[in-house]
Amino acid sequence: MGFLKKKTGIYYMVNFMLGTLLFFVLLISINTKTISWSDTGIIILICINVTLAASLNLVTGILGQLVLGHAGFMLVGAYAASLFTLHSGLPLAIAFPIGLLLSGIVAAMFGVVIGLPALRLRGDYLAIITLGFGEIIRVVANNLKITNGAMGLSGMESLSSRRNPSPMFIYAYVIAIVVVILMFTFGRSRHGRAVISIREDEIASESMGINTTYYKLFAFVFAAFIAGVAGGIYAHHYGMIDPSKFDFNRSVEILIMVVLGGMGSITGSVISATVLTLLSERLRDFSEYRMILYATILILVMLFKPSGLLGRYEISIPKLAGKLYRRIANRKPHSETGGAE
Amino acid sequence: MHLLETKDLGIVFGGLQALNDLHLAVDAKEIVGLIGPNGAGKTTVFNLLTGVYAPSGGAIRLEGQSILGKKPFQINRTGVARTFQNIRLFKHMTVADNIKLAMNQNMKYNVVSGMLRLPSYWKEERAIDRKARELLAIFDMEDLADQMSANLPYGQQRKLEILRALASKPKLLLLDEPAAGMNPTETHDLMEVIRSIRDRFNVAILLIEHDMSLVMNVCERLYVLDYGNLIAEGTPEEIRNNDKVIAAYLGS
Amino acid sequence: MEFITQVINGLGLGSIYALVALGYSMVYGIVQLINFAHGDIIMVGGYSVYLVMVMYGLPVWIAIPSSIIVCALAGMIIERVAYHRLLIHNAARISLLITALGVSIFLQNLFMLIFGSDPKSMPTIFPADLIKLGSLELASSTVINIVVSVLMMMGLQLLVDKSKIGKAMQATSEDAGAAKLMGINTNKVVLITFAIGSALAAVGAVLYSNTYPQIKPDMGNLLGIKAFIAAVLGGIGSIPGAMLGGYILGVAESLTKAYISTTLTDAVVFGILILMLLVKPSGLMGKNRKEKV
Repeated sequence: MGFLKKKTGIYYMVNFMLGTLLFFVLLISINTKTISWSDTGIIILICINVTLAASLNLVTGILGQLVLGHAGFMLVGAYAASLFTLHSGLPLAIAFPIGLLLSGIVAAMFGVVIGLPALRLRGDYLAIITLGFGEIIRVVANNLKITNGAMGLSGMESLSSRRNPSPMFIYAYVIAIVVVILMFTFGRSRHGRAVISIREDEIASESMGINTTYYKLFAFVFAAFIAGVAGGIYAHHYGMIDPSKFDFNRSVEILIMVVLGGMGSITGSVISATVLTLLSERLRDFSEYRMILYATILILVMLFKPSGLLGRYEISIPKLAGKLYRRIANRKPHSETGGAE
Repeated sequence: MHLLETKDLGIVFGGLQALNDLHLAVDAKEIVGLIGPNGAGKTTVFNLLTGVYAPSGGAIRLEGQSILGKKPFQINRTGVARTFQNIRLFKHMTVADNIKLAMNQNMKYNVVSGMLRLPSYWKEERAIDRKARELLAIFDMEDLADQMSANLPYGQQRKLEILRALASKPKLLLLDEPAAGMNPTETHDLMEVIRSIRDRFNVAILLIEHDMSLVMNVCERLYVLDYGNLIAEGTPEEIRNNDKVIAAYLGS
Repeated sequence: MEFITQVINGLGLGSIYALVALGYSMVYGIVQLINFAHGDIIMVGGYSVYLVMVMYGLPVWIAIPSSIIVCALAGMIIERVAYHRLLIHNAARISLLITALGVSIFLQNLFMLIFGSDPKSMPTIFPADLIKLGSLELASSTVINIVVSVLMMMGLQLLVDKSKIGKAMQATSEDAGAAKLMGINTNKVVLITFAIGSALAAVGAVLYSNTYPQIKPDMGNLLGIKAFIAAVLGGIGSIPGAMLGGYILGVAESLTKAYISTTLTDAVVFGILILMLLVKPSGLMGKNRKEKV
């Protein structure tokens, strides 16, 4: 009985290879125009949403604290990255990655400022305070000169162009995959255990030597960092941003992906982010019903499966394949003993 | 110097003096019992000792150092671990993970090493996995290591809570009604276990218990609380014959 | 003189916050849930009055009771459909919060779909005279707000202290388990609490629409948050606390508007919340509920 079962290690390898395979399939399809420019845009949006959902899942699913202003961190990151690339004077290929790093760092700083006082509060109050900050950040952005107020910023260049459609996809996909993997490895490390134990029973956790304030803050700030980076990608993909793109509805959208997919399940967030982004794109004509639909989903999921569709469990293709194989393999002995065939 | 000592320890809840002028001492490797009728304030003492409540008066010293004002996690790291009256396991974590969590304070690899699976991660995780399973073996529970702790039967959940507390390497172990819900055989086993834990792990044990057979057999000294006041202290023999104690339990 | 007028205006505004805050406090006292959807009940109340008066042309004295009944019903339906199951099964805090959020979003968007997102003008509900008190000149709405809210609170306090249902509410709020064992139908008590809280919100909506005669689907948001802040300020779970918090907040807002700046009023209000939560989360009159360990 080893510490890491051989079977699990193989599963990890297979999952990683599948992810890499998917990357190359998509990359080639995009470069050969098999996937259209607009569909590429949807794929990039899916990657952004997966990144956002994974980050919110860290705080709301794994740590178990409801945070309602997550789009505020996306906003901060988007503006930080945009202001940098617009004014740095560096060529885009250099400015963009630096801008992304900056967007994460600035968002993380906001995370510290908000998290330090807010995380001391009980869950209900934390939700309201984070909601408040999300709104305040948006209102501030609407009124500052540097952010160009309600008009927002525009003119951010994308590394992609019709002739070379893949760079943004590469950034978006790789970042999404890296974030998903990091969330996964974090969850299965001693720090992840500490964070989960806070969700399970904060008092017991503290009694077992866990500095709950530190870990809560860490999860919160880390999630803010990732949301900031996602915001940076978003800004350069669409080329223009304004505060209304990062409003309460956006925060709710990200929350829905986490709640629906499974609070604590990274793969659940990946799946629900993908499905919801696709639906939202395909059903553009019904966008006025979107929020009502989201609200209904929230209520129904809470009533019937509060932990979300996948709950806390992760789904993995090799695991499913293994289960399927075993099921089929178990049928063999019966036919060999010669049943009524 | 006592391992644990309280002086004039008291706490007031909304006008009610829940605990009054408590003097209590536990020395290294002692097994001491804290008994008294329901509502006497025993768990309140535990909550004060672990920093969950702040006292309204008095002092608490661990190895001579005051622990007043310290947060629960700091108190645990200085050497006090506890179990809870209503079991507080991490329900959606495995049995092994519950134990590994308590070992967190003695682990060193940082977040980056964890996320990037650097060698220090593998080394330390392998080590604590082994240690966790060794701990579980004390109660013959190693094969339950990968089960969800919520799925364990009640008795084993209690045992797991004790193991988890031990995993945090305490000098003083506080057990809150460890025999609750156990039948006489299990209780008898528990007595052996408590003694062997004390010997093997070099811990002092302060336990709250209602089961008198356990208390009388295992505890070397007893403190008796009633309505927040210490009404008697002494050896089990002395307490057994103490009129005040008898009156408190039977009511007068 | 000017100062006193501003203070009284603040009390008038604060009366509305107080009435709505009562709903938050009562529900929190009973089920420890911050009912996100409570602010949107105000919106429902406002649109009910609008519907009855403008679309059906009925007079004020039909509109107000209808609004109260509609809101009470809405509150009860929301409790039964969205919260009840979770409360019975002792669901995690976060599940209740998410459901409450869902209900709030649902209500807002539903009314937006039905009535459109543009603001609707309300007709005058009460005559808009100026009332002279000594050398003070006050808007009639201010006086009405204060008088109605004080009457409502007195009535509520009487209900809670003297009536059987009031005692049942107190018992359930202290210890639901014990209350059940004493033969109290806690489910019914919870339902009635929601109904009363929502009815008070309806009254608040009427007073609000009389003071600021414009309604739109998201009007519950800002008003709800401010009323929530008032409830926290006074001590969530405390009835007199909700009133106190409401008045203090109203006066603070009025004075900020008059002497500092209008744009900063929301910031000041939020600042009060943050200060309160950092310094004394249980509020001015609240009890410190310690979790049993």
